[in-house]
Amino acid sequence: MYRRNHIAYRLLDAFFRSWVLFTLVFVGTAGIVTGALMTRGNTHVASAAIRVVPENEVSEVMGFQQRNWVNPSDQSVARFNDLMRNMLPGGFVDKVLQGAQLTRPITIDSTEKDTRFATLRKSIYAAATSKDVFTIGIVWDDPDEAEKIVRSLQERFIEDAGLARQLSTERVTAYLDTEVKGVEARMRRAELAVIEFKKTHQGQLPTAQASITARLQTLEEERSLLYATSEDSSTKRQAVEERLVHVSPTSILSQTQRFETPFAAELRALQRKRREMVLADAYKSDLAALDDEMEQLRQKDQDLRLKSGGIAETQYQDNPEYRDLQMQLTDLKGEERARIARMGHLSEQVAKLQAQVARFPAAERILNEKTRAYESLRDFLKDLLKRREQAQQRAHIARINATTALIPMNRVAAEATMGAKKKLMTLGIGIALGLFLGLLLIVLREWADPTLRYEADTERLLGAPVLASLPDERVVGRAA
Amino acid sequence: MRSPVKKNATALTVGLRFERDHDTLAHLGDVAEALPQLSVRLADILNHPILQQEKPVVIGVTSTVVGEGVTSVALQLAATLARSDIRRVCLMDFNLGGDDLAERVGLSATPGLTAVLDESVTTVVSFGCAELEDLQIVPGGKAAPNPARAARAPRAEQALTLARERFDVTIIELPPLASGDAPPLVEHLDGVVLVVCAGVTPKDLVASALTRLDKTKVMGIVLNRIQVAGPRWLVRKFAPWW
Repeated sequence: MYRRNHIAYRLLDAFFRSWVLFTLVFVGTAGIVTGALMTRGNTHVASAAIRVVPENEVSEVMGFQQRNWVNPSDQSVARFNDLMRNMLPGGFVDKVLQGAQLTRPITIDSTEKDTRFATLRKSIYAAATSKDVFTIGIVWDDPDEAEKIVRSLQERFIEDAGLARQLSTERVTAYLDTEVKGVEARMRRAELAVIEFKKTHQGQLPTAQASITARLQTLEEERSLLYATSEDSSTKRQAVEERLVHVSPTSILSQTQRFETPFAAELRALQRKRREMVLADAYKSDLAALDDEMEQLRQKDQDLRLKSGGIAETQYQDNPEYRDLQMQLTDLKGEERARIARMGHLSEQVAKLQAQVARFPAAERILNEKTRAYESLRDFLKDLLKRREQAQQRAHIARINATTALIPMNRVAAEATMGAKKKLMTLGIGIALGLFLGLLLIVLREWADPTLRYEADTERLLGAPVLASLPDERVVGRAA
Repeated sequence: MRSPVKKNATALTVGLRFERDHDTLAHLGDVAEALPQLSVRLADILNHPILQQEKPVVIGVTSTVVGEGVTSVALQLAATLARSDIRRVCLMDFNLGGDDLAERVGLSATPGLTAVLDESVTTVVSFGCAELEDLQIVPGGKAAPNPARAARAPRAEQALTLARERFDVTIIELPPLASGDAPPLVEHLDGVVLVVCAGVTPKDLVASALTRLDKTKVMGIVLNRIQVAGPRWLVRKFAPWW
């Protein structure tokens, strides 16, 4: 790099190169600003301090605990600013201007386009000076008018603020009355709904639910027991029936042993006859026929003997086991029929109770909702009644405070705003602004300069070395 | 102060002659003497590598636009070289736009290089003065009717070749780059010095003009006509080289 151009040198060089422009801007700006501030500052200010009596003092006596995050003075300032926005004919501003009785009246009618009214709106101010004191003021050309306007502002504000506070509390009370009536009606309807529901759903109410559930449980247990008993009885009945198959209904009481059959006696008779015939020397043919007959009898006798086992007569009686088994079977069948009937009855009852239990959740939920709605309305009504009572008391306090809560603290007097110190400050502001703008213009001009003036810039921008930098020949010539 | 003049004509053999005439060169010595500070500042250029070569060199001096002080810088550069230990320095006006150099040194109207380039004459007269015996000046003559054609004429190359043969260092005053006539001449040169008028020529224009040159031939930039607005104490404090 050829030679580094010091930033201070560049700034001073730029300054001396543009010193005419700087001087013009500096003198022009300082003159205009100072003149404007001096002219604008040649006004008068009138202000009125107002003390706000805290409502807490009265409220605490009445038992209210008021906790406001905003100071009373700040509240009043906000209220004043709200009132100043009312620029309708007959509104706050109109009343203030009429009450001021100015020599040159200011009209708020927008059709007349009174420039003083626009100035007035910008000139009036309100500010809190302490927790309980605030100031209303105006910066105005005419001191007499300033005093009149501020006095009127003070009077109107005190009057309007008191009335507004009273109206506000009364409106709150009226509103709460309406609300209480409405909530009472709604609460009665909710109460009737709960009672009606309880009547129509007695078995499903929470008090009946426990007994129904217990009863259902008992019946289900009984049915289970019956079922188990039935199974047992059925098994027993099958065993008895199987046993009955093998048990004879009667048993042998006694048996008579017989040694000869009826044919034996007949046979003996025939034998005697044959002996007699032999003795009689009867014919052989008759003997043969007799022998055949005797043989047949012998055969019958033998067959009969084989068939009867030798028992001539048997006496029977009823079998006690069979009878006992029959009685058992009869009992078992009777018990089974009774059990079946009982189980059927139990099943019906269980089904009914289960249906009731199934309806429990819906009924309970509906009852809970109705109860909750009723209780909510009841609590809300209690709260409303309490608030209405407090609002009525506040309205009473507001009526008392309407005329005593705002107290004027000073006599309104206009003072000139421009003192020696302020003039000096105004001059300083003008000079500072002139210096700032002049220097800013130089910097901007240097920044926007499209030409090459310094070696370092030339090398940086063009990428070629600076071999020499020559002063203007005319300057050198003059110097020589 | 007027310089005594002397006559020493030189004949060229290729149909173009440099004749030295001391009778009409009146102000060269004055100019050189009047601006000693400028010569001192330009002395740093002597250390440039191109001028350190043993062979003869031809250096052009040009600018972005007309009026940036090319004639003055070329004249001062030639005078500075002539004052140094370099012998046989020639300053040729290839501006093609008028006889600025001749007017600057007080020469009367005379045919110059433009007449040679359009082949109306074969002889051009060079001038010198007693105090700067090693410097000869070749005027440009009247403005060329067609500068573009003149810049590209074969005679231009012949003239530069002759100058390279006759002199150790030849300084060529070139047309401005914006005209477009300088690049054809630069092709025959060893280096180019770009003159920039400080605080006048837009930097974008200069950067654009530089792109038309072969960067390897750009020796550097001479920042001309710098105006120091501040008081002397400021210059002494922050820019003592002034």
